[in-house]
Amino acid sequence: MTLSPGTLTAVTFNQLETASGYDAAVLQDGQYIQEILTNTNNEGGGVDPAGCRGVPWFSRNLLCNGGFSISQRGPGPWNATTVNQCPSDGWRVQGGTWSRETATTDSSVYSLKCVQDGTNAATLWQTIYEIDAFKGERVSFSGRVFTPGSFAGHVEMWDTTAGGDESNVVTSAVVGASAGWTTVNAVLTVRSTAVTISVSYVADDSTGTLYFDNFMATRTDGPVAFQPTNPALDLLNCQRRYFTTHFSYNIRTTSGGSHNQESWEIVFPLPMVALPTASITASGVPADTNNSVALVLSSITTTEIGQVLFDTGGTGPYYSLNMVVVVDAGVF
Amino acid sequence: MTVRPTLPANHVDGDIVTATEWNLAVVQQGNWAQEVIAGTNSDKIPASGITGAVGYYPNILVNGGFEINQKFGTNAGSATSTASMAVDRWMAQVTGAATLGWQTTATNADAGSSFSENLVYTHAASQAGLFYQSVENFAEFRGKTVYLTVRCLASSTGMYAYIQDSAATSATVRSIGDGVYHTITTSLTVNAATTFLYVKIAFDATCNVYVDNVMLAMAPAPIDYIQRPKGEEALLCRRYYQTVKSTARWRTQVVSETRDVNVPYPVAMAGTPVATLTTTGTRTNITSFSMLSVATDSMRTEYVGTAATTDTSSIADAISLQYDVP
Repeated sequence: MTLSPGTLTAVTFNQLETASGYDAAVLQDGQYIQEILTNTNNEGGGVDPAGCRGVPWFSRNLLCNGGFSISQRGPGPWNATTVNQCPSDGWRVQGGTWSRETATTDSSVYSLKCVQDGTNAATLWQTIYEIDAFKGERVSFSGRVFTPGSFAGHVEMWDTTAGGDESNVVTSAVVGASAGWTTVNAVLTVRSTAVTISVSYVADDSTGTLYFDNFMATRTDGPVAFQPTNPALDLLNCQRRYFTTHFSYNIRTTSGGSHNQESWEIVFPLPMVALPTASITASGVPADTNNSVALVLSSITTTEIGQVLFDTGGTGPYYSLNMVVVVDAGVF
Repeated sequence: MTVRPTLPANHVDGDIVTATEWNLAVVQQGNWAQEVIAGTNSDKIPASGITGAVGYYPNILVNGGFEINQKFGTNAGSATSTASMAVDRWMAQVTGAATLGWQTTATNADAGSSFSENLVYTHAASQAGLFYQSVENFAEFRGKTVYLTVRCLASSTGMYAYIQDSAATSATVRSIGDGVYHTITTSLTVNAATTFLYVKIAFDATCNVYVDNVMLAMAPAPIDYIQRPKGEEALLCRRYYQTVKSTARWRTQVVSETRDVNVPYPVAMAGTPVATLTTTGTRTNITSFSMLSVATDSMRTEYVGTAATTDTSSIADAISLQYDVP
């Protein structure tokens, strides 16, 4: 590997160039550039994407809901004294009270706000799954943070092996109190044995208000600025972890027995990240009536489809119109 | 910033290199190259200069290549004074006595494209025609510079395109009118408080134009159209228009027995859609049909059947769901 030489001053008329100057200005510079262009030099990670015309990034955002625009569970605020779900899909939080923010954003519709309670320093993180394509590659993070208070925080990135080893950690520069949105960056070289990658923002103090927006992780050698994701793709990506759907039924049993069973399927928009559970969060209107045995959501055994089973008794009709079913993969 | 030097001619044996030449060919060239690599020089490395790398700029527009037409296929239609859906994601509108016809067609598709949109505008004095798309997540681009690229084959100079937000419009040059494809571009730094973002194909003189491969990207310069995989493009289109089917079959036991069918959508809609029964299924002993609880993710159809000894059924009712972004 050739090191990038320092640039030289101009030679004056009739000046004899020395061999060392020749070596530094001609040989080393030329070799360095050749190595950069053939990707055999790792001094600075190759060409800076900012220096490329038409290539500011080479891949899509690996993060789910990096713009914090999807809030299927609702806008909060939710207190997260322990590890808890976040108002923004895909993200997990601990410490502080979290809510979706509309007034203070980084030129977007929504940001994520955290008010720390003075007890627990806030942490925000997301795990990236299905990372086979990124093993041995650099994954770069860029995010925007606004810390109007007097405290600081930083970003951590790490990968996790199948054995649970999380020792490969990189830490960003500390983001201090600021009068406006500040960019925070980190670059992780993913180990060949990794199975997941995680990105986390860790507050260094426990009192104050934090805002997060436009988080971006890409398979690039350096951080690249946030690119808004198409809303349909953003939502679908989130729905691999969590989604809700309305569901209706209306049946009449043929006898008064206790085992009049009918079932319907809930097909997931996309295969879930992990085997989900399903629950009913809002009863239909009218809710189940004349129903001696409650509606049963059968155990889901695949990541692609679920089944609702009605095991009814008594006489009909039985109906539950437009109830809400939640399917949750339990990962953030 | 160092300016890229123009290199002198090669030397022959015995030549002496002057200091001027040394400074130009070695020092300045080396400084320039280092600055370019470091990203501190306004000169940039072209994407084509990096092996295996192609710039990825997602098209902010959906169906910019007019490859998906769920509602009309290759059937022709025409604009009215009220904006109405044409090919997927695109709306058409015309004023006064002017007319604007549209049709998705394989004729005159641009290179690498299967379909183009044939727009036929007939002008009336002081009137205009528009064929446009409203960007749903416009607020995400506030303060950002976006570039528009449009490919068009026109019969006259009566057409142009523009980007529009709450504060400004930025128009391309007019169509050339020579019957071959040209690229027209423009850019706009989106207003920080904009409440909408449009890309519009506009007419103010009689013109027949084939439009194709419309690209709006948050890129550093106008870029050529980048085609999405067709499945992905179709998926994005379904956020705004899609068809679903409802099928019911059961045996009634009492007079006027009701049966509800849950109808989930393959793709959640951008907003509560307008549901329209487009094809009635094969119905037996059905006395009533309703579309109810229409939501962004699903709806239910409600059938009322008569008491009968035979099955009550309605097979394969087709329902269209449409949400037009304002």
